Amino acid sequence: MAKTALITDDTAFMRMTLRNILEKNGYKVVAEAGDGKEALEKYKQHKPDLVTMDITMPNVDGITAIKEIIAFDPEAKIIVVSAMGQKALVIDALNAGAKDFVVKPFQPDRIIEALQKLVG
Amino acid sequence: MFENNLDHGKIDIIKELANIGMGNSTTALSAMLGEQKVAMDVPEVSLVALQDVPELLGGADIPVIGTYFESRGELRLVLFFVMSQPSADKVVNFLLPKETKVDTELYNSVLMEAGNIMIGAYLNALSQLTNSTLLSTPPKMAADMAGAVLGTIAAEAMIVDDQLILLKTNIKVSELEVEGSILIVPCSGSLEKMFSLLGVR
Repeated sequence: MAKTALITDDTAFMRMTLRNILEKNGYKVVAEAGDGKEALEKYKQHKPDLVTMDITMPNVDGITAIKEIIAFDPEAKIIVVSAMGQKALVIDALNAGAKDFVVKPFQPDRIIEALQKLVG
Repeated sequence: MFENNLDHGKIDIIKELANIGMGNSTTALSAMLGEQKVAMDVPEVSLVALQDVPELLGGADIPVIGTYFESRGELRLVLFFVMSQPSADKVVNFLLPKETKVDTELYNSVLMEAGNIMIGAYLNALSQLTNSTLLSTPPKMAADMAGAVLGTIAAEAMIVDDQLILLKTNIKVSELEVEGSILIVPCSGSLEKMFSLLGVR
């Protein structure tokens, strides 16, 4: 059965790009979220196997959303996909509970590699 | 004002930081555009009046699209990436799959993401050089005549100084016939903070 994924990014273009990459590689995208608040709501609703999470977003940022999702489900598998690859932010994200950090721009293979490490 | 006390040594430092940061930005844009060659002019550092900035983009009446961001970490900067409308169209067409039905939201989001990736790369480099953490606001966008776009950005970013230190470079993607400018305005006090982080007196 295909692994399910929730895509979180504030730009429609990046959500579309990630959706195309995931679907081409056999993942089922069950929901998209445009900010951290929506990500938590969609996570609770769909319980996806995987989450991609941007950092810089309006309303609720990615680091806060990771903490909230992990508080709801400590087993949540979240990878960060962000243009902000600064060391302190990577550490913050990993401390919050993210499992990997992919810096934009990325090659599709890098996203798939990160997801496969988590769910095979 | 501090800005008037900039000596050549400090201007050189600002130029070099801009060069490295904007170099990272163009590398990121190149990767996003499938490794196309993105050429970059040597960054210029100038003290300009706010109302004169549109002239640097070709004139106040030129239609442009600007994505802009604020860095609100240890250094407060306003950063924007400006392209002409035809250049923006070419970037959007290149980045979207051919069969995509493009509505305004998708069109704008392509440009905001391109700006986000470029500005993110700039801030990542500057963060490394100054050993500081620099957070960016989500991207915003304005499409209008250059004068109006600059006015919108200045108002939203609450730029109140009459005279600005402006870091500017022009970029060009020859194969796509795309041209644009990256502009960075350090807000009051940020240059002093940056020199302090670098240990420059």
